[in-house]
Amino acid sequence: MEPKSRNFVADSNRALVDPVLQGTLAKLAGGFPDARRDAVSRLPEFDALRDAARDIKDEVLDNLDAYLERFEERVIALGGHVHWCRDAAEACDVILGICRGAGARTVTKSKSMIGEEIAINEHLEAHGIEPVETDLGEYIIQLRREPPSHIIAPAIHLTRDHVAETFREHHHELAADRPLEGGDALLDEARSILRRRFLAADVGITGANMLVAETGAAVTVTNEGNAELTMTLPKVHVVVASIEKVVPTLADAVTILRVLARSATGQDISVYTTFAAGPRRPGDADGPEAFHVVLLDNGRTATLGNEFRDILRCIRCGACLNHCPVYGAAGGHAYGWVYSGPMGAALTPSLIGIEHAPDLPDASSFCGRCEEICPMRIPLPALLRRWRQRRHEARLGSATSRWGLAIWAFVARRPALYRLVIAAAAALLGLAGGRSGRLRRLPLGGGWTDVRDLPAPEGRTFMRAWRARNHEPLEPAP
Amino acid sequence: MSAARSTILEGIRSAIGGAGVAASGGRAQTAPSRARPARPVAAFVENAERAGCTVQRVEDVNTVPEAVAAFLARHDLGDAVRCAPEPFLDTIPWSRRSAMAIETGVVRDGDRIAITAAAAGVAETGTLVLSSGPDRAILNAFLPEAHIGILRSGDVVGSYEESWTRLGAGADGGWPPRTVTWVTGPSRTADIEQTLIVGVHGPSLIHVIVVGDEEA
Ligand code: SF4
Repeated sequence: MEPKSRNFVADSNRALVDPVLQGTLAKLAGGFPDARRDAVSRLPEFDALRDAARDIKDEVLDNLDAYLERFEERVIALGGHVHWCRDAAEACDVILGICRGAGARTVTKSKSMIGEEIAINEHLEAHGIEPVETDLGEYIIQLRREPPSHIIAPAIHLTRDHVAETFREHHHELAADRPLEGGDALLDEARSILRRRFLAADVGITGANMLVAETGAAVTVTNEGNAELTMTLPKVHVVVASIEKVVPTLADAVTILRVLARSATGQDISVYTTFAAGPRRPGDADGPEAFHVVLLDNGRTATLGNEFRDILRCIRCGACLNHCPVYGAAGGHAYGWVYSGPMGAALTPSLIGIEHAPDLPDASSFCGRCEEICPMRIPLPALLRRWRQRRHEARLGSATSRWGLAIWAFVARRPALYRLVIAAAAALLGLAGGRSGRLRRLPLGGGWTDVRDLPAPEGRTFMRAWRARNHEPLEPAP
Repeated sequence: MSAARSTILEGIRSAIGGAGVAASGGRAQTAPSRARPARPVAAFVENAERAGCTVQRVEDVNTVPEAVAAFLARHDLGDAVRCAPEPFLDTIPWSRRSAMAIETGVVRDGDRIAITAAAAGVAETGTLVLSSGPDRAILNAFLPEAHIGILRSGDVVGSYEESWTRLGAGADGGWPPRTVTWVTGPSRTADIEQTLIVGVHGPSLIHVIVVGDEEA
């Protein structure tokens, strides 16, 4: 999908006045965050586990080449194949090649953000292979040809009526006048349609929440059970994962799993966690005949070497989206590409370039909630601040804000001038505020005064007040 | 694509300033207190029920057929059961309940009920550990409407870490098995308006029968 992150400001403004979207977003505020809080309260060691999880990923990133080689060695020893891909185009071609090699017509997929990132569905379709998403939310948005609006709940922006309408439009084989009220009816219909697709698929593509270097396993986490059917029923299992997904050992995977679901949905653990390594072994009762892992770089090695490295610890739990006031108001589509919320704002510029997402660093009130709850202790506000700096250095902001910042910097670096200007401004604004003490309008301050009054300063500047306070005699000691 | 492989590895090495080293041992990790319960079986039962399973304890394999029959009757599931080809499940005297039609093998499309034997049960979250292998069938836990997991009480462990050790003990065909799946409760989704519904692609009912007298 072509990134539209450039339009963040316009698209989020539109989202704010969309009553249907606002209705679905309102439900998010209580749901996931409350469940997370309850789950965390049942695990007193949660914060210690976050530290351990962070340390595991830092160790991996510090030695990424070695862990990837160990992982590759294990997969090959088990009879699987590893494909290294520098960018989306290479990954798409490799996957298409595997599908063609298997004579595939239908490919089932379980939700994969990397699949979204490389737009594999479009590539397969363009070459006559039909990809079928099997995660319920992902299936719905695939039918609607929309990008996901949340990294773990891709159809969170839709209502039941949207889903019913979409199913009627696409499930032609069913009677047009069938009843489709309520979640259960929708679910039953999706299950029966997708069951046939599962059984017909020639290749199954899954993502991976982690890759275990010690055993060569890809770890998938789902609540629906679709990843297991995707990887077990067809002849060929393809895993697509970005290079930073590797962890050293099974014990390390366990530590990360202990914080993942609790952070994401507030479950102690997701319903299904599967470790799949290699193809079916001699005598196995079930499993695929071939096992491929597609390892994607797509900008990660560059990020590893710069000041945005911390975002590579992200395990895509979605907690920062669920706790973000900006995401909660604008929804995921405003971010214009596959990743949204604070992690999206911090990661997207690395992957598509800050010039294609110049406003994403502003998608934050810097309230700090995301950093407070991130299981991998990623300093998201600091990363966004660094992107603002990069944007400034690349001369990408609006002329007004660039000039404003330049003038501010000039004055702020000259304390005497600063005091003079501020004292003058405070006095002027105090006068302009008049009796009411409020300003209705302010040149260059429309962003504030269009929607609310600005309280006018009352006399002394902070610096003066501070000095006066410190010169006041101390209370006499008793 | 070896050109891509070397570009990526070189890119990583220049980003981290030289070649990395993969640690040879594991790091020290402590399982949280809920993974070290005083009574693991009781903790397993409590957590599995919280996750949405039904759990029943029986003394020995002789009472399993009765427990299965009662579960089928309770949910009106008919009497045809697909049983994974595991030696342990073969020791169950199914003939005691001759009304049930027990067929051994991998589940097929259309089967409503399937049975697996769990390699372990993890008390910390009430999780069943299943694995692939010559006489195991992962699919039996995924395709049917109802999944019955049979777990020996002696196979209940506190933590996930211990479950890996337990898998190692009986692994034929190499450790770890090709596929290891943890199942915690019935298949579910909240993808439509964040409302929880059970039974998406996997079973909507999971019944765990714990066999044996540990902590009985
Ligand atoms: S940045 Fe942290 S909170 Fe956000 S998705 Fe990634 S791991 Fe979860």
